[in-house]
Amino acid sequence: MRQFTFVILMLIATTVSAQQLDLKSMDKLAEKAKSKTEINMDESTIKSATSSLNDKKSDEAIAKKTIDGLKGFFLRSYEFGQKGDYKLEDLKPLFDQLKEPNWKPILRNKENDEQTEIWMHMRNGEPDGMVLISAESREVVVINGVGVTRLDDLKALGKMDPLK
Amino acid sequence: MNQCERDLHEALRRREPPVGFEAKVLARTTAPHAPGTFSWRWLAVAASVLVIGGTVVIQEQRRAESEKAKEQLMIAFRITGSKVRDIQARLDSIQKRVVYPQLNP
Repeated sequence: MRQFTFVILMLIATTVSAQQLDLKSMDKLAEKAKSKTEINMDESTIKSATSSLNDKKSDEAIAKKTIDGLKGFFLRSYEFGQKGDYKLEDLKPLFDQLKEPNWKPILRNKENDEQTEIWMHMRNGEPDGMVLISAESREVVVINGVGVTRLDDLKALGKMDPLK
Repeated sequence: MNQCERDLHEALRRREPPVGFEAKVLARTTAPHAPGTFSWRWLAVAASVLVIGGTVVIQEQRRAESEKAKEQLMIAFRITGSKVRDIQARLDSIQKRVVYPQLNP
């Protein structure tokens, strides 16, 4: 029984450490959203996806380049019916996690009702992940790329066709 | 002809089969298997079918999982890409207002 409990705890620890940020803190925000997209991809799912990517398709070629070194990709995208359906304070549990010393801000911009932040996760002084938070009046997007070490990797994704 | 050649000749001499040999052979080829008789041949065929079928099913499952993972990844990357474009546009507009305010009143 003790061994079983240990295995369960190890599994939980692995999942949490893979994610860098505990996105469960956004569950309350998700309840208020009109529509939501939640994507959790661990290393094995990413590896599985790699084998189906076709280099001859430009978007998939960009994805294949970005995937190199990626150990996890976690995304939360929430759309709200109208302005005021959520408050920036709802994101406090998320921002509180970024106060940990292994998070370093790269970009912080707050204008009108919009807040944009990009943070780098550091391990032994080296970047090993990134989080992008975009909070607009009717939309919140949080992206945690574990293994994303350069802003250029994210910029490359900007060349992809928008969601159809 | 020496002894060795004689032995060889004797060994290779055409012999008639025993009486009823042909009938026995024909009877064995047409006789149905007695019920309950174990056949290794059929077992081997069944095992081969199972192994090949199992491999095909596993490969198909892996391919489907990989395709699903790719779709998820592409959605995640497209959302990220569009957010990155938004942020870049916002930063460009800030830069224009802050660095070149006289050109962008």
